Amino acid sequence: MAAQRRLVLASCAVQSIRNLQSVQLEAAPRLNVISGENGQGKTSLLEAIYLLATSKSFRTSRLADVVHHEATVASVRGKWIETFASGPILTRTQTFGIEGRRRHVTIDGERIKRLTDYATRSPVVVFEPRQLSITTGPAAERRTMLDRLTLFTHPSVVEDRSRYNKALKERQRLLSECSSIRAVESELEAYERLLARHGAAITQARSEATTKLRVAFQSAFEEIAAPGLLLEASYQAGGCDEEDAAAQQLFEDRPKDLRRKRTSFGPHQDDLYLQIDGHPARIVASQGQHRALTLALKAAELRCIAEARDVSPILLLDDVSSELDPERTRALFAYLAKTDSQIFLTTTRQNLIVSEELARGERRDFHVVEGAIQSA
Amino acid sequence: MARVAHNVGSCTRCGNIADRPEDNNTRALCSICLDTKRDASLLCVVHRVQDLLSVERSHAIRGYYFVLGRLLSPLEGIGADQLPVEELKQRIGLNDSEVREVIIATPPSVDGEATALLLSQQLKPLGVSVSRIASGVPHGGDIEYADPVTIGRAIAGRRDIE
Repeated sequence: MAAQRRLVLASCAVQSIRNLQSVQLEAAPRLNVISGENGQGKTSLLEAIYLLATSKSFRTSRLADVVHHEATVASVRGKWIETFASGPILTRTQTFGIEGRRRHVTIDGERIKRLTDYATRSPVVVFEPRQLSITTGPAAERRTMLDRLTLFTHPSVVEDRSRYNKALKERQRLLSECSSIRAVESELEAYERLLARHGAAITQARSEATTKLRVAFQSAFEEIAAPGLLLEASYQAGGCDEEDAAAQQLFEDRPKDLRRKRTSFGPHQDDLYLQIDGHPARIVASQGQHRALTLALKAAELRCIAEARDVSPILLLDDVSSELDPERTRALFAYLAKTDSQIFLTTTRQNLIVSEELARGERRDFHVVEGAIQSA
Repeated sequence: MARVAHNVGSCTRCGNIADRPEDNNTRALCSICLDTKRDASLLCVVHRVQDLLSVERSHAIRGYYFVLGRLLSPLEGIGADQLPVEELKQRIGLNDSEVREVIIATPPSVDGEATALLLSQQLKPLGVSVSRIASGVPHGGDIEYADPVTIGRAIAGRRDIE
């Protein structure tokens, strides 16, 4: 499953991200173990790497939260190395900066205007405890996961999504403020046509992404969790991938939607449905199984992005060993050893992370104390 | 400045800027609507006067124009009844009108697209052909640097090489 290219974050410099005032990090090519007590800044370091790679945070949607409370500007600068299987090596420097609510990202000194172009250059997959709700929580989290995949498999769908959401709001407004359907018939028809068009593109992209995901998901689940359990992931489309049929459905739903004051048909109702041995995972899975499911989903995401981009994403693991029993942790690392992803992980118990199979120089340990790094 | 503000108004036919006539009885018409050498079968519908000027600078259309002034946007409280649809229909349905084709040049935004769809559905019963401008890779722009959306649209709107 090795991709054609290996991606490595060689070094990064963090300024004023959360409690990290000024931190430099020279990373090892395979495994980087970041240890420290709670509240010292381990997760913030992962967050900084995620910001550098994607321009977004995995902890908050309010970007101002990531800036150190005494600073007005925060930044991360990193050097990436991409090595082709055939030999050639590409290096690039990326910078992420934030001032107030404004983001500023560059690659090799060139300002990048579209954030999705930036976010797909150096792919990264993060796993953190809060994501454990992905298998139990609301469908929106699973849609977000599928959308992260489509970012790589169907890049133009980003635009369809933003246009779909805009048109959906417009239709919602029409339904909530009109006295009767007749009064807004021509407007409805226009926005429903756009919903049908962009919705069909989203449905198609998510459905194809699910097809790729489920194969990787099943094999990852088997390796990490329980062999012998039959796992099934299926895409439940809230809309339809055929534009005219979608437009027709929206038209027929008008009276119902007017009563409910919302649009009942479309990809904003999508879900990724998980089953274990024929039963809904949300109901029958144990706590441990949910963790394994989530890990398997992340592993599958990693593999799918690697296939789509032909480069193995780097992997950020936040405090996984506290969430998994030692046996699962071992299974996870055995699985990860087979990928060639560079890994950054945080832990409160550094001695739990064993990596006998790694050569010298492939692993580096860092210790974080009060927002500063000590090489362990 | 004050004199300019006083002397300039809107063209009563297309909505472009026009000189205000001396006496209040004549209707203001812009230089384009007064130009009889243009192709009267073509009518280009734009959002704003600035857009009209851009299309005009391109010399791509030597027909006449119609400025909407606004786009459909229920979120901003602009519905179909606030668009000058009736005026546009009248403009096309004028007795001496020779309009055969309406080119809708509203922006490629969601509201611009919805406006185009609404207009086309309202105008087609009048027996005119309604077309929408294509969008794609800008001239002088390298495909290498074009964003995926633009390239996607350009490819979706591809056509045969004659």
